[in-house]
Formats: sequence, C-alpha cells, structure tokens
Amino acid sequence: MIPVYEEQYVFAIWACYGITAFVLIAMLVYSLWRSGVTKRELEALDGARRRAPAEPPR
Amino acid sequence: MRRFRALHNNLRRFTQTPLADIDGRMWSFANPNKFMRVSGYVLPVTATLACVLFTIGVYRGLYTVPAERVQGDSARIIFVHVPAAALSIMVYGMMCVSSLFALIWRHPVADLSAKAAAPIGAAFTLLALVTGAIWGYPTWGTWWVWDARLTSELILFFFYIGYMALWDAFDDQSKAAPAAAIFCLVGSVFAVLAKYSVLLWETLHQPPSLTIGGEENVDDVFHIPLLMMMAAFFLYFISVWLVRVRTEIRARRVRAIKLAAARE
Repeated sequence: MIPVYEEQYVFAIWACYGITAFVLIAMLVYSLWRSGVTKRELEALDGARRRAPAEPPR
Repeated sequence: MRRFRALHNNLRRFTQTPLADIDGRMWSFANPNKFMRVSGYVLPVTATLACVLFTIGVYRGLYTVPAERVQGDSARIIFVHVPAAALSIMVYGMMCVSSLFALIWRHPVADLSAKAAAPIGAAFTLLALVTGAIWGYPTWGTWWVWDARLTSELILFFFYIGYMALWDAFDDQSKAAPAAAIFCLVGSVFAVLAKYSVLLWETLHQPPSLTIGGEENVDDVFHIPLLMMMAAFFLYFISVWLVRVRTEIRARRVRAIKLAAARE
C-alpha cells in the first residue's frame, strides 16, 4: 500500500528516499563487484606463482 | 632516594600500562591476515543488522510516523537526511584518526582504512547535501543558501573528492599514503566546522536534532525511528567499509606480486 502524504511534499519525500536508496545500493554493488574482481585476480596470480617451476638451487 | 625511585617506578608503571594496552590492541590488527579473519566474522553480522534496521526504520519513517505539527509530512526526510549528515562528519573523523595512525605509527592497515572509507563518506556527504536541498525548498523556500552549515558541508565534500583524487594521482601508493593523510588532516577543520557551525553562528539551518546528553529537540515518536536509521546507516558504513578494506588489502597483495614478477 502506497502511503498518502500532503501534496506539496510528495515529490520531496519520494525523491529523498529514492536517491538515498539508489546511492547506498550503488555503493554496495560497486564495492562487492570490485571486491570480487580483486579476489579473482589475486587467486589467479597466487595460482600462477604456485604453478611456476621452482628456481634451481644456486 | 630508594623511596623516590620506587615511587617513580610505580608512577611509570601506572602511566605506561594503559598506553601499552592500547598500543598492543592497535598493533594486533596491523597484521592484514588477522584483519581479514576477524572482518570475515564481523561482516555478516553488521550487514544483517543493517538490513533489519533499514527495513524497520524506512517502514516507520514512511508509514507509521505521523506528520509533524509545523513541517507536516516533509519531516519524514529527517530519517535519511540526519543520519547521512551525521555519518558524513563521523566518517571524516574516522579517516583523520586512521591518517594519524598511518602517519605517526606507520600502521599498515590504517592508510587503507582511510582510503576505503573516503568514497562512502563522500556518498553520505552528497546525500546530506541533496536531501537537505530537497527538504529546504518546501521548508525554507530555497534549495540552497550560503549558510555556515551548508557551506562547510559542501567544502567537506570537496575534501572527500580531493582526498580520493590524491590517491589516484600517484602511481606509487606508498608515496600517495602520506600525502593523502596530510590532506585529510587539513580538511578536519571543515569537519569540525560542519559539526559546530550551527552552535557557533546564527544560521538558517536548525540546531542539532540529536545531541548526546543534551536537550532533546525531537519527540519520541520521531526519536526512536531516527535512532534506528542512525544505527542502520552506521552498520551499513561498517559493512561496506570492511568489504572495501578487504579489497584494498588484496589489491596491495596483487600489486606486490606484480612488482615482484616484474623484478624477476
């Protein structure tokens, strides 16, 4: 059910809640996406380092 | 002389123990592996609590709270505007503390902590400015005034942007960290001004809605959902900040591995 507000404040209320939700969700999604990319990159580099042949003894 | 020496030793022990304790706790999180392990346990708890509090707070703010006597329904905006504004200042304060730790004690996670917090703080500041302007139009009859609180908040936003730009301006992150930390400490003046401007000057902006131990300006019917939303915003910040610090720690490892591979 959509609540009913005084007409002159309807835009202000929904705009504030909408913009806040958008910014907070966008920040969360971007942070999680970047976290995933960095984690995969680190795992790939770590894996490549482990697979690399050991250096011959000097 | 012996008594004086015993007194001196006791006094030294008394003054050093709490400091050593704080120092020990501070350095226990200097190990990125320990930070990753502890944050892995904390993150799901803070994220779940933030979701629950946001759901209840928004429901109460939009549905169950009655229209305010003077401001009418526009007072519902306080449930997003006030927490965003409070967190914008608090996050900057936290960045200043982290910057101090990074500059003075060379704490290895402190600079990453400040770097990770900056975009979240900038988002809160932007939200405080935008929701404040949208609230200001029906309440004051204008979107913007060059009032002490609004102006200091805008300058604080520019400091957030400058801080992030400074990190990106350096290829060598070890050189970026001290420069960004000093820049952050310079901006702390505006964080303090943003906090106390409404008390120091006669401004169009109203005095603080929530004060610790001070006179209450908000009725309980608004006060409780407002505290819920404050807690939700705070827990949201902790959750996203932990995700971002963990990312920064991993990104630093990636850079170190790439650098080592390039040297071989």
